[in-house]
Amino acid sequence: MANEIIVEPDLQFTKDLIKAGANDLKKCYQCATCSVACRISPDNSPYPRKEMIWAQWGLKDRLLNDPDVWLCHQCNDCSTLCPRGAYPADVLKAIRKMLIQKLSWPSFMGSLVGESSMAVLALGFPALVVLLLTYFSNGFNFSSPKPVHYGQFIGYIPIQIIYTLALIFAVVSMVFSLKNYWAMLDANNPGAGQGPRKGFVPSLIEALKEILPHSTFKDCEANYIRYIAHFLTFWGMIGLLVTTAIVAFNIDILHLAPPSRSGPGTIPIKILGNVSAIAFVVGLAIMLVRRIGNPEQAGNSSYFDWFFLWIIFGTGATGLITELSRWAGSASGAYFFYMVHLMFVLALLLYLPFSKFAHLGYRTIAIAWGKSVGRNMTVPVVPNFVPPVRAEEPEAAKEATV
Amino acid sequence: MEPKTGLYIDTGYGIGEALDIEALKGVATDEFKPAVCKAESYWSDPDKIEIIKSDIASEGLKAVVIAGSSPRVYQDVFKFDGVITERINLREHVVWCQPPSHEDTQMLAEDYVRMGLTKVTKYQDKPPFTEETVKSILVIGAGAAGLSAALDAANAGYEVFLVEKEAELGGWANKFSKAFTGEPPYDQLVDSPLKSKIDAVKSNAKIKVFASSRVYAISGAPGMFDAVIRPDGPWIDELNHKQDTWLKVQLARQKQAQEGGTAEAQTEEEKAAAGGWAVGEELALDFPHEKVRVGAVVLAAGWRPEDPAKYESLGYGKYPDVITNVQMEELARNGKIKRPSDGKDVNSIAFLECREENSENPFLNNSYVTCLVTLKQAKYLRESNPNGRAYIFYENMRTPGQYEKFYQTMQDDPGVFLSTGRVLGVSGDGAGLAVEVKDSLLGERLKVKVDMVVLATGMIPVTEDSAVVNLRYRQGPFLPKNPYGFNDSHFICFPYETQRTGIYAAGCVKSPMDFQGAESDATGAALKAIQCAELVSRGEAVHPRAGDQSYPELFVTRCTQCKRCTDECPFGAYDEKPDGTPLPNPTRCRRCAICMGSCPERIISFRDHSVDMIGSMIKSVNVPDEYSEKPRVIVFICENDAYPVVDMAGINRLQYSGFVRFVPLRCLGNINLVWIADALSKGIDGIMLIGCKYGDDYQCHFVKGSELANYRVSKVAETLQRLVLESERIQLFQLSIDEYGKLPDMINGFMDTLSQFDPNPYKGF
Amino acid sequence: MAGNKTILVVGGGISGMTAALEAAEVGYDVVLVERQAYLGGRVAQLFKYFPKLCPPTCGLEINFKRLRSRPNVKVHTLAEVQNISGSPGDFTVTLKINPRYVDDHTATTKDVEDCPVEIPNDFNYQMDKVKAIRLPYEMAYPMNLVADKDALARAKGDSAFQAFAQSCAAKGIKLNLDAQPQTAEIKAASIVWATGWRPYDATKLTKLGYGTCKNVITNVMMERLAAPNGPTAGQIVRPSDGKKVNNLAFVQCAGSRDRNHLPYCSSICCLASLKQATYLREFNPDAQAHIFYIDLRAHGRFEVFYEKVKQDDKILLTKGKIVNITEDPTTKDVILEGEDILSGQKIRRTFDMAVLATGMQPNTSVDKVPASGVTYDEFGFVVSGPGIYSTGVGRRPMDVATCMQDATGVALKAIQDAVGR
Repeated sequence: MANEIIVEPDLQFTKDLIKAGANDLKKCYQCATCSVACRISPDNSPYPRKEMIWAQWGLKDRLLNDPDVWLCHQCNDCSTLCPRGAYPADVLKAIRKMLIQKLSWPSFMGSLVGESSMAVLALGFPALVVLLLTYFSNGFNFSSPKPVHYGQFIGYIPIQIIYTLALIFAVVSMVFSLKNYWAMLDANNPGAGQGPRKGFVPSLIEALKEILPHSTFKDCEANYIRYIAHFLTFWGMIGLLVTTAIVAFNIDILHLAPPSRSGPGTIPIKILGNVSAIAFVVGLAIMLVRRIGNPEQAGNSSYFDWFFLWIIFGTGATGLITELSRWAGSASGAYFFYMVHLMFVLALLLYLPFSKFAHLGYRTIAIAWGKSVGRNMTVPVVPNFVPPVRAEEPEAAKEATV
Repeated sequence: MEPKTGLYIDTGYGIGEALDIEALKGVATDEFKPAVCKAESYWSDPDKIEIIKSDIASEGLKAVVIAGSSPRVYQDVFKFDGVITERINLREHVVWCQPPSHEDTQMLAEDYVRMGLTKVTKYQDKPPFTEETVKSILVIGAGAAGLSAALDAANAGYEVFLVEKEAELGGWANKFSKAFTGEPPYDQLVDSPLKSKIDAVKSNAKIKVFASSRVYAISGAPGMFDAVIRPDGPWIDELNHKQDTWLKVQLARQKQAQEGGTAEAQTEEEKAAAGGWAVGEELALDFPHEKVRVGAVVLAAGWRPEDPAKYESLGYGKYPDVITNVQMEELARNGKIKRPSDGKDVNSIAFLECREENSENPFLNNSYVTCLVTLKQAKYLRESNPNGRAYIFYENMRTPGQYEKFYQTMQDDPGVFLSTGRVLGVSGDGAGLAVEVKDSLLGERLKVKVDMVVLATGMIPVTEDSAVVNLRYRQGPFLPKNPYGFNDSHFICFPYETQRTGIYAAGCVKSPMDFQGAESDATGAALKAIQCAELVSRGEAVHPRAGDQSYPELFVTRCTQCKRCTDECPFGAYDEKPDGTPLPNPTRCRRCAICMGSCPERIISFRDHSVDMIGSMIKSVNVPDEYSEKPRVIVFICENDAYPVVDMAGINRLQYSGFVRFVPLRCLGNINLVWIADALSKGIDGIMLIGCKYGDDYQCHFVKGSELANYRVSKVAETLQRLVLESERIQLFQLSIDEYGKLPDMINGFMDTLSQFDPNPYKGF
Repeated sequence: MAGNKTILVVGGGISGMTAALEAAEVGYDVVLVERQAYLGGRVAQLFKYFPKLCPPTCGLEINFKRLRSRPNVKVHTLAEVQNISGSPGDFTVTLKINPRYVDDHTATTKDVEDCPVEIPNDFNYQMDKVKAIRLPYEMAYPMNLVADKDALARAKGDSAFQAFAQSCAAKGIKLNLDAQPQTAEIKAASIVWATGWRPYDATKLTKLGYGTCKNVITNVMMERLAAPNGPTAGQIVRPSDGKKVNNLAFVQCAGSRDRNHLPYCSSICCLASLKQATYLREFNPDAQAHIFYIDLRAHGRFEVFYEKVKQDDKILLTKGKIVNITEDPTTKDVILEGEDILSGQKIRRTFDMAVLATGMQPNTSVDKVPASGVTYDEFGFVVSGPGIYSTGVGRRPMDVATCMQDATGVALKAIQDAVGR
């Protein structure tokens, strides 16, 4: 990296970063403890030390074009060891947030999700949609029909339409942002990595091999429990997606009754669904408890974190409660929570590309990009220096007797 | 024998077992006939001490000689008022390092008894040197250091004369915008750090202030310095010119000494200067002046900024907006920071606290202070302009101790950008400046565009430019500098010891310091000044022989005006009388007796230490004839380091040749060649000198003693030729105090060398 | 000097000794109190001083000489200050003076070398063992044996010890294990507090392997290792197997400049490591020393020393803190991990041995001054107290020369309270 750069520190960017949760970034005095404390940081130009100095110097472009910020799994090994209390993990997190917002398309969505001032609107919109939906389905009648028949509480067809649209919007927007991101990384990291470039698909597969089993996440030390929590949540969510897909397929294509009203035939699906749901909720619960109970360890949490966490947790929680109420025989309870559940689900879908949820996309892409340019090469241990042998002076022996 | 002596041989510590005590007593009584000669164990026991005391009373002893443990122990116990007390080291120097009950061990012990008893016969009874002395203190410079020195001395009850060349007291504190305090919480800046001190000094009845004045001359000696203080004026140039001429002559002399070439022709003026600074020349006092008598002097003249011209390559002088940190203070004092070139507001500054790409010279004159100043000045900018950007490029951020906290607080400011770096260059277009840096923390060469560049220039001691103290000493007006060019001690253990007794440096003439550092340093200097005044008033020497009441006396009628004593005294104690003979100043003297060694005429002596005394001790050594195969070697050892080395060799029971006889000297520079001649002509086979390391990192407590000894020994060759002896018979060794492990090899090795030669043919003459 | 009162100096290290002597040579009466059995404190355990690389014992010797010729300094070793009451000009101080448990005529360790009882040698930071009766070190002042009561009391029964005790008596060395501590009360006009520092506890640096890796030592231990009177008689060899050290790493800021340990800079560790690198190079000309640092703080004249050391191409300097130290289980080599900041590459290197440049922690951060009105800064350094003056590392982290300079000044402050006015 011997190329000369003209430095024009962006004071505002530094301030924004600080606002975005990197409160202590200026405290760093570049001892590089963080880069080494981090178990998963690559050996050539490791993070987060370099990100810290860039952040201090307000080098916006550097930071937003730096895929390494996504290699960080927020385990806080660096923050706990940092001799200055600069919390590098929080700095990287703040950078990730700003990146998500910067790349969000349509861009207003970014600020809608990211700014606490927008909270009411952000939460209100999906709520309103579902409320209207409910109203026009059966005018807020939570008491019937019994036994519970969600399909008559809110009609399937409108749900299908709205949620499919939302999903499409999310996916399109996400893909769009990620495509830009990939292009950005290519454009702004000339000569990054060594060796020939790999193609997108093989790189992606390589990345997924690493992500799905959380193999790097496992290495995090200070915060091992977060690995477990995330693992549960992640696979719980996958499970739920699968369940939902199957159910939808059953209903729409095979025209079967939903599991809630059908017999033993659907027991496997139920088990899958419930197990996943529990894993999902437990995982999230752990994260929440830790963030609330032990911020020093978990790293302090910004609005951006909370927003996403509560929505996804709400989704899972309300889902479970709905089911429980139904079992408990409280139709009204079931209907009510079902409605709330739908609100959360909608929010989750809509905001996927703009909330912290988007990390599943960005991280995958960043890691894949890293693979494609051959990032993360390991320097071997330099063997012990052994001086050339020479005849031992007799003095040494004499001295020993002194 | 005279004086009436009691010899007390200690049989404890295994001495009784290892030696034939009766034979030992025999030697003493037969050859010296002491009034008392007793042998018992552990004379240090209180009841035994009583025995000695009663002997003193009953026998009227004038001298007591204890033959037992090293004089380094029980010094306080073996103390008898009005009685010469001599110690013979039979323990560490004999029985602990030699085989017991051996002929040679016995002979060794007997020789030491002879030497010890001979020594006491050579003591002279002389009262300490006490003249009318004063205890007032002269403090030069009224900056942070000077003010503290003055105030602390006054608060201890001493009269103080405070001389300041500026009209105002306070020195640089008056020119600075703000200063860091070094007080908790360590991250604050204060406006005028010295205000309260200045007021205290002004209102202190014991302090007389001479503002806008300088010291024209200091003559005399500790306890009786005469300082001529005169209001500042153009005359200072004339004085500096004098000094320069003097320096020029000195350098020419040195050159001549080194190259042996002839010094270039001298002007009348130079000839005068060559004569020496104080000699002959009368003070021209035909100008307003005040003469004060003081006991000691504190030199706290402070510093001036390093000449920034050497930073031309960094754009200084080329671009008006490249300024020094001192100029930056001025800018900051005028409120909002404006650019020198066009008076525009300054939005960005690059502070360069690092060297140029290929400059290798260490910036000695920066120390940690300029780092702190740089951080401080970054704060100036940030306070003057909320959007201002301060770039700080450093090589190593040096904020020692609690100052780390000041560094942290400056880091926290988002407008301060810190990075390591080596400056590649400073360039400018009309609009502004650009600084290029390599080895930055950003991992590459980088370039910043700034409105202004501030260079962290160093602090040069003002003693660089003139002597300031203007001593009227034979050895010149200057306070000698340490190898780093500062008016500071070169001793780690004795930070106040200069080469001019009674004159103590403080503050930035010693090394760059912050206010707090300079103040505490000055308090120490004040103490040393007071201490010196007190000691000389009691006729005692100052460090390192504090308390020594002996002093050099000259039998001038035999003096040949060879000037060696005046030249070689490390402390400039000797001036010169018009007739060219040396004029001793006993209160300047540190009692190292280097002059005693330097004098070919042997006319310099102390009451308890003289050429005759050592010579007689050597002559008292019994030299067996050449057929006995018992060579004899005299080992001159410095009593400060080499003597403890021998003791520790004994303590560790290291064994070595029993043919050596140790003769302790006050300093190896104390060696007088006549002793070597005496020894050789008496049949002594070889001579070793063991002293401390010399050179840049010398360890000699008297600065150049061991070096001088080496020089003299190199000159002894012709003596040897005269006697037709091999030059290897005389060798000088450097030994550190902790290298006792090397002593046996050193001695035995020397004995091996001797064994290649015939015995000294002069035996028995 | 009539009307003058006594000055109490607490701590017989280089700072305390200097303060005591400087005041005494002015003419004041001084009481010097030291907790150890000998004067000299930490300095006595150093091999050489930077930048002159001269032996500290040289300066100690001259101070001892000054002490011996100054009857107006009263020295109490093995003594502690229990309580201070009163006010400037008129303090009453209670001292607890522990016995040496042995009474001798300046006998030396050699005289008691057949002592059957051994204890860990604190003077060598427990790198070796020492006789339970011994001279603290060969230049100790006062030059008297001291006995470890507890160790000896345990051995009291066995015959070997009794035989030894008799042989001692023959040499005029009287053991007295029943001696009791005494309390003394002294009047003082002012008090100099110079209780100095302790090396920061390296076991708290969990990642740096001290205590878990055999060949990780601290900088104070390195001083003893290099010293001729140290546990290896000056042989720089590794603890695990006594192998001559060929490749030595220095880990700077081991606990200093770290909010989890000592937030301040200890000021001297950089120079200490540069100095110790020269120890190795002198002992073993083939060896290589590698110093890992954040900032190399060699200020003022020390920079000349730094430049000199840099000239040695077998002393390497790398900017980057060492974060992790582990041990190769077979070779017992130590593996250091860090980042070379200027090249942006992680470092993983093995060395024969690693020296942790642990910082200086003021003893006053643990043992406070037993007097009222004394204030401390956030790190435990003494700021000030009425009639009580802190000096040396108890006040600020500083090198030896600065300690002495500081102590000299503090002597005058103390005198100002003691002067007969």
